[in-house]
Amino acid sequence: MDQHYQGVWSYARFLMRGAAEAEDLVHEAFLLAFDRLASGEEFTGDPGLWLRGTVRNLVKAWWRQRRKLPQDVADHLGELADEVDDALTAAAGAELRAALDHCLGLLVPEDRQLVARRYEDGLRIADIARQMSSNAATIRVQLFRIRQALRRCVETQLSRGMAT
Amino acid sequence: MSDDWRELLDRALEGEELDERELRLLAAALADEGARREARELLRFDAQLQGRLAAEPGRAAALSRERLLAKAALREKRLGLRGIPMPRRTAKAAVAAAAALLIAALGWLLLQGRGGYPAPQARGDFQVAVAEGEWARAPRVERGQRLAVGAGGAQLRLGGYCELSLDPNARVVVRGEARNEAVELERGRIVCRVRPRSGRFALLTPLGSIEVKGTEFITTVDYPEPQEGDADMGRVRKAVTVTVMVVSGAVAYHLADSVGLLSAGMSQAFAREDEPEPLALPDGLAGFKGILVGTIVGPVDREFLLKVEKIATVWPQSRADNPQAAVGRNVGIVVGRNRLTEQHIRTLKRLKTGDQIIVEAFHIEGKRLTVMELLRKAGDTPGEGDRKPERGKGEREGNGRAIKRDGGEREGEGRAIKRDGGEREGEGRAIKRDADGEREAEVRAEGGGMTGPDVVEGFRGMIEGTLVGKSPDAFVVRVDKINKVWRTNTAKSPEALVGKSVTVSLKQEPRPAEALLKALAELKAGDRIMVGVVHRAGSGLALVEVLRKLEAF
Repeated sequence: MDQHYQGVWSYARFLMRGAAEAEDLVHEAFLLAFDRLASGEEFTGDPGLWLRGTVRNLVKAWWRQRRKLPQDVADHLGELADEVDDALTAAAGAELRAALDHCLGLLVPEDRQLVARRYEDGLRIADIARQMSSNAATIRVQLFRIRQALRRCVETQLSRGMAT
Repeated sequence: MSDDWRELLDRALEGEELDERELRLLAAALADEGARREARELLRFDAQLQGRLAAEPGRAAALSRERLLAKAALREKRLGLRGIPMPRRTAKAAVAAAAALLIAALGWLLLQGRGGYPAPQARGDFQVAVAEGEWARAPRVERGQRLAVGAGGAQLRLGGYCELSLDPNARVVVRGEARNEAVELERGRIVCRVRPRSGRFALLTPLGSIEVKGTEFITTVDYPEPQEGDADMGRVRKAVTVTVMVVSGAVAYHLADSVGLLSAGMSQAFAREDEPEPLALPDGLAGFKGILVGTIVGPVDREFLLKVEKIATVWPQSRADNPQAAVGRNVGIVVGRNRLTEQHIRTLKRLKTGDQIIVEAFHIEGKRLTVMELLRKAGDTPGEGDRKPERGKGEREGNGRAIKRDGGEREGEGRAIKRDGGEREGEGRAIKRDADGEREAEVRAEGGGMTGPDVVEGFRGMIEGTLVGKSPDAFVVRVDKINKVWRTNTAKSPEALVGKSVTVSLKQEPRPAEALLKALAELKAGDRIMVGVVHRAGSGLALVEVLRKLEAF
């Protein structure tokens, strides 16, 4: 396993919702890291943290320039991305994994299929809507409700687990 | 368009265009601590879902990483050829600096006497290989020579900027060229000290390379002796481990198919185990999609080795040329992380060497088959070994019909009603409501791959498939062919049953024929069968005539 590359790659794809430019930004971060090493500079602590921080800054710039988000919105999103940094990179605990699996198993097939398209296939909402001959707003609301239901289910599972 | 900031957040992240008003609303919401906390939780859960469900990035990430390495190599080459472009204003200064550098370099060359780049120097207790298996003491070493270090240890000095200490019994080959030094460590331990900004240094190992440009690090190449349990079907696994510990600076490694950086104080071990021969995918099994029956021949983890005894079913979409060639061979089986369901985890925990299993497996890539929905110990009836549903207060099974569960499979008509707090399941479907009574996402009893009432409704005919589990008066069959559709059939698309698991019951018949019960008793999981069925109610089918075992493909 390539601990740094896969982690940074997944992080960028999550922040950029699978946009094609994600790979370019990841490469840019790694090339900056190589330059840093070549100049004899050291990484204090985990290089993965440095790489993800760099990716975050690059994504923020991308939000502003390519997605035309105002500075304040891009900054807010960047801060949120910083705060959830560990959710993707830290290995989910066995309990959380089991709870997620359990709750996903309870979804009706239509909802499970929607989740699969969004998270397993990495499709964007607009693409899912096109595939399903629906509109993006409907799919977004459906996904939002599914996530809410899953969250509640996972919380219930985890609290049961802690109680036993 | 909604003014809900959650939707606006989603749209912004999705890259949809927001108008000025919407952007103002979103910015204002994210500045509010309460909304921000909620946004954080939403994003965190989103990330956790992605982390759990996204396909393993393995191959895609590996390709992306290769592109990065190619990009880095090209860039370095370009910089080497062109030099770094600089603004015109600094050109004069650069010319002056270059001239000074040239003078300095010439001076240094003159000081070197013969003007040559320092040759590799070795001292200490070592011998060099003079022929295959023949070693001799030598006053100096040359590039390409193999060194065997004696009990006293040895030191190598390369290019004037790499100091290498070799532990007793280490074995190395001197590689590299001027300013691009390299040593191949075949076995043993080496401590490398590389002066920064003096040249490049790479340490080559059996698992890959470590590149540094100024650092001190320690590397060991080891070939652990086989341990008990490493013998697998009479073959001994061979392993090599490489351990890297960085004392100062940082190193970039490309070892055992992984790439990364290690900085001061970090250490990491890399290992590769030569895959035992049985893990080679048997000829003719590439692209296989179907059901196998076999015996587990090694330790069971997420991956295990299966001796194939029977190819029970080959799905129509299989691309394998000759699946039968796998019979009698050992095949590696893996449960993908994204398919590590509770049901599979429970099953894996129960399985052990020697168990006969039935498994639906696809060859997706590599040398192993990936487990799909079905993984069961042969002889188990559906549900055996699974956790019995815990009955909570108020829970009951309805309509006097028993419900058996086996992870993703459900028997009977799915009319059982389970109550658990406010959660209600009925007809295999439940609607969760929150405290305000708002309707949320629908959930239903686990049923991946099983038919629903819409698929079987009105079906009357003969089906062929693989028996995946049974009880005395019911069984589950994985349908791979609709043999015949009777004239009384009213199902709109009988072919929709293909690829699905369906419960066939004799319980629905007032007086099941003795012959059918007897035929069922003689069948075992993995058998291919042909069966005449009709839909009466619910999501299952009733066995009305013919239950015949077929020869496997």
